[in-house]
Amino acid sequence: MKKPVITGLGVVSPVGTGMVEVWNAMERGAAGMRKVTRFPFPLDISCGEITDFDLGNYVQDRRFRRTEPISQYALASTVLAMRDAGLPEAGEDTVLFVGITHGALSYTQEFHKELTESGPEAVSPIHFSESVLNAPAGNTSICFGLRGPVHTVVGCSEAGLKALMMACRMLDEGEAERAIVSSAEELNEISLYYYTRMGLSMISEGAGTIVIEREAHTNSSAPYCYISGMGSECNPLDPESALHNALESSINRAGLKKHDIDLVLTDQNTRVGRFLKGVPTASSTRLMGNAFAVSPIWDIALSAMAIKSGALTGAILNERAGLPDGFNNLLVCGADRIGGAVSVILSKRE
Amino acid sequence: MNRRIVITGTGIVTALGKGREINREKMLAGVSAIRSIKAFDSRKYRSGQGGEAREFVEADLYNLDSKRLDRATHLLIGATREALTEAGMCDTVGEMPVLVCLGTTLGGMLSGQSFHREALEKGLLKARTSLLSDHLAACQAINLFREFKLRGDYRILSDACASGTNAIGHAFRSLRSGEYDIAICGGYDTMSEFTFAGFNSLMVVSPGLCRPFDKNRNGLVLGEGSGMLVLEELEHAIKRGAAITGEIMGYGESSDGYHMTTPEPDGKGASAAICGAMADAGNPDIHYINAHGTGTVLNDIVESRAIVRALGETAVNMPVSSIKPMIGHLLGAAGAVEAIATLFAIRHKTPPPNINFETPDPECPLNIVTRPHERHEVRIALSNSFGFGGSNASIILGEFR
Repeated sequence: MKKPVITGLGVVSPVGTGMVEVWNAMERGAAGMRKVTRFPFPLDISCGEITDFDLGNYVQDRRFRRTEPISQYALASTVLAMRDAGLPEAGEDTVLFVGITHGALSYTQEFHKELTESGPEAVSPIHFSESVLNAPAGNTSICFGLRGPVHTVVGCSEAGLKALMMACRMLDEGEAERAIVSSAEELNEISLYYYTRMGLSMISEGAGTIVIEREAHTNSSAPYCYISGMGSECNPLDPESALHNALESSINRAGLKKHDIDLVLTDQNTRVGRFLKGVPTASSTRLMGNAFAVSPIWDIALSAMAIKSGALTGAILNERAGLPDGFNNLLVCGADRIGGAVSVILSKRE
Repeated sequence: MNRRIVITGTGIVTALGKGREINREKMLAGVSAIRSIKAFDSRKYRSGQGGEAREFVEADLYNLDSKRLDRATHLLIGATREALTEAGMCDTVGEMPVLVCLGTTLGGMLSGQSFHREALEKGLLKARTSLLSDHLAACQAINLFREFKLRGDYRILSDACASGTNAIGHAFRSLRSGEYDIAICGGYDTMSEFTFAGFNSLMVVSPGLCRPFDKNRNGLVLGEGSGMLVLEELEHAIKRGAAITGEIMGYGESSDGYHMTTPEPDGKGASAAICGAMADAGNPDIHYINAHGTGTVLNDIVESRAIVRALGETAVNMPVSSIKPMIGHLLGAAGAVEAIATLFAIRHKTPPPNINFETPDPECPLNIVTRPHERHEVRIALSNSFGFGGSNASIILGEFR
């Protein structure tokens, strides 16, 4: 695999918008969990609601003002990532992959409520067209005038990383020079209720966008890092084996050994320790919450920052023992409860 | 040199029936399966017509419990079982790593609708969360893994009405690049009132007959179903003695970057997908085009412009048809079912007719196939899919030589 480089990062999260703001919030240990205010909710829980977001700060085009929150988060994080990559426009050889778990549930719910309570004459066409799963990808492609491949990859918490894998493959095959990989989720009362009943806590929302480029093609003077290895597997009958194989495959493809991995960023519940004994782990979930497909993309952004800066805030580290001075290889893992796992390795540029 | 990717199995469920044979027979004969919708009260809509797969109730399940499964899972498993059976690997598919590539726009929308209706009627705290257990599209993929004891990986693409074609295209590319040797790919979607109301609110549903490319066309008709294909790398298929029924020769994709629900008027975006597929396949002669052909005024004009722009003036003589007037627009399943219909055209040298077509439209200057069982020497064919958000996808299928 020709290793692509990460050249741009954009984050919209409950702890802040933009990598600098998020990084500073992390250093302060500022958590984004609070009582939900967007809609009445019958249970007393904390979640990662974004309360101070204004799309107008990022996108002036008024066509997107009526889009649902998930598209607005995706648009803002993409604007930030493109700026970070020093790209004034996307260009013809740019592909877009968006990883989604739930999509625009608020508009879906609104449309269905209008239909059920008031009948077909009362429904809003915008609530329908903006409720489709590819609305964030569609809106982003329209906003940036993208003409190349644009795809929405749907799945559980690993969907964002799968989107990244598919984009890397296109770069590797020479089908594109640059990819925007985005992931977005929005809070919604039904999903919040469902996951609370299922025992999941700290549900959050937001978006993360990564710009990746072929190294020979980039104009960026200082890319963050390489994407050096990836692995993915699904095995509902044996989820641990799927996780093991995904981890092993990514390490092998990066040409590394287990002991070369400096740190693993993953959800607190993912049991990577069984396969990577002694490797320190970190989780952004305790501060930023669980935003499903988005969380691993946030972890990719934090890892890229950590490799470039040589440090990572202690607030998200699960343990400090074994942590090196500076980072060469960080592993980000997304695994769901039902058998899917994806592992991505970021490496320092020589 | 590129690895060649062949088709060794297909499975299909549509309003015309369950299975390849019945669908082939009725599609090539130009039979319409559009009826009054029974799944919900459709009388309150401008049109109550649709293509429900009424003969399909549930898939045969050997490892899953049908309780709590969404109809989407049943459609997916039903078509996959037929495809795997034709490929001769229904019981052995778990022995090798397989890529599953699915296209859907709705996933388990029917389950989501049921839950939300309960929440509206009884309050959120009293609605049964069990109704949501097969709501997300990932659940249907996982169910497929469980039912067939698969190992490998899955990717689900939700690119609106281009989802099914993109799922096949991505599976094709993954096999060609050597990532996998075998893939199960295609698409599925159910008939839901949510979608029906949505398309009605956009005023794109025909109050009468769906008649793509006809001057008097006035909209689409919705349907449900699934189409699944088994793709294999050629040497892999030969080694295990599989019967090869066709070949995927090329795939192209593009985006309009224009509007969420309106296609770019000059057809540039759609044309880029066709050109991409053509270049990918080595620019072969095309003998038939299975059009996206929704029957809406603008879509058919844009598709006609895209075809002419991509293939030149000779395109006006190529046989073109859309199967949507027979089975409806299957959304995420459309591209996959239409790929199988294209294979029927290749194997039987008979394109399915574009039924209900009466009056040519000068804005759609194409050679529309109107008569059933019309013979054409179809060896290589193009199948188009275009969707909301400006998603465009085209694949080229050929007979295996």
